[in-house]
Amino acid sequence: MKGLGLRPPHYHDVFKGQHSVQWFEVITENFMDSGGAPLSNLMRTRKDSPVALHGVSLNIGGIDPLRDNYLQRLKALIERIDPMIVSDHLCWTGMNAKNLHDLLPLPMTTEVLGHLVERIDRVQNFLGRRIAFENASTYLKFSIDEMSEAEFLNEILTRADCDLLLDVNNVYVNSVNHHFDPKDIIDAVPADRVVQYHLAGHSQENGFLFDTHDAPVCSEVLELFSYTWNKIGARPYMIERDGEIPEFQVLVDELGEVERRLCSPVLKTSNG
Amino acid sequence: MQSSLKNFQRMIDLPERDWDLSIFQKPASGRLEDRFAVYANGFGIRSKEAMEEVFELFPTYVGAEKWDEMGALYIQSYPSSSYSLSDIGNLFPQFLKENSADEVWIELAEFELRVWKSFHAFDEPRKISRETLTKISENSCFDFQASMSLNSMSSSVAAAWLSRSNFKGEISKVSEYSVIYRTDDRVRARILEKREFYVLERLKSGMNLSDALGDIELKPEDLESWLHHWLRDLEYAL
Repeated sequence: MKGLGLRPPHYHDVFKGQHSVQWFEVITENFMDSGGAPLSNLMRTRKDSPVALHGVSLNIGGIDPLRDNYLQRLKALIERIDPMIVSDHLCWTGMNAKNLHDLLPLPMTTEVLGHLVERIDRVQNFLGRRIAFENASTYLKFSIDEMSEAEFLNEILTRADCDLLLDVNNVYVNSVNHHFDPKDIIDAVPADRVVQYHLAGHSQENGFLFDTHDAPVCSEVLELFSYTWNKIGARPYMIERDGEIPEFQVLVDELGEVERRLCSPVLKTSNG
Repeated sequence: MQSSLKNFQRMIDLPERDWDLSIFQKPASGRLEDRFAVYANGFGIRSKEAMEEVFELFPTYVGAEKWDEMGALYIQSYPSSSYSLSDIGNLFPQFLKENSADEVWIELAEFELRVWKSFHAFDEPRKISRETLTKISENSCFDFQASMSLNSMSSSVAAAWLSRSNFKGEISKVSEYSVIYRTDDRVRARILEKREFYVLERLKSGMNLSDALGDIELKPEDLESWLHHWLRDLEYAL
């Protein structure tokens, strides 16, 4: 099931309905407090297609208490939209009531694991449903880290009863940034917890990769996605594009290319 | 864990020369400073982008240099506490007032913020229909949509906003009354004459039509024209 991130420049094409995109993902916070055009565009999209809610400000790894008003509005939006998947990121976004509006890296320690497990449990209990958490792209590793990202993800998914939104581009970016084999993560995560895949483009910075979502998905990520598809299985997948947003049809064509690659007999025999 | 996150956030606010990056491992490639800069610079970049979505005319009016300087100071003075980046401009007019900014700057910022709020406001389903218009009497009271706001300014910011596609950075210091409202998911504005502004203001405060009109002198065709906007075109009355 192939999807795209719903972005305002594409509303017109989406509403025409003559496309092959099977579902859309939206940034949750853009719709939680908006009763105008954003919400009516979302409702119009939802009428024709499944929609996934993807949050960026839950701050699940942060130290500040979870915000009641955030959770209440998220719950209300979930009830209104009936999304196919609700997700956020394994990260923190700020502390002392200051939101940096970024997906900041967490130390990979036993203490952080316990903290995450407890908070994920509270969020899921409040919402009355499972949430998928996305593995975030990172540029730094903490000195106090006690485990690899593969071990960290595996532990969270084992201990917290949550799902994984597996961002294949982020796995690749982190593998380059922190010098490990990306397949270590794909092999480690429990397949039955993976509910969705993300694909995106990144850019090359001075000595590291930057998860910019402003370019087509590169061949290395597509190759890793093929491996993932065969190892974990078919799940709804989508391309995220937040910068240098091209025409809708360009992204539809890119999705078609990904689909052809997944269906290719070569892929099935070489990796299956 | 707590001290790692605290140090991380503290350093984001510091200039690069004051960063103590010892809480991080030496990176596999490249400079640690370049990697931390992704986070340190990201907040400012995202905040500026979000501010420019709310304040479309303001940067042109004050000039790029001043906008950059003021924007950075504002973000530092009023860091975002909301979960939504689109709330980031909510205190900008207040910040300008506190810093004794030019009156036109304050009014322009206030007007653009109201436009933004109108765009996102949760309006109610309309209660009034063309058929019920005949039942309006001098005792009628009106409810207004959340997206509607009235503006009394000492400068022509509404006129500037209405011709924003050709905005050249000029705003006259002429008093102006206007209404911001939303129809068909589009935010609109209309410049009002003083009398209409006061009647609307009174109606919005809960007065009935008779009391709102009060001592205001007007011809029947004036009222007809106003009602046309308020009700027949279903602009902002519920």
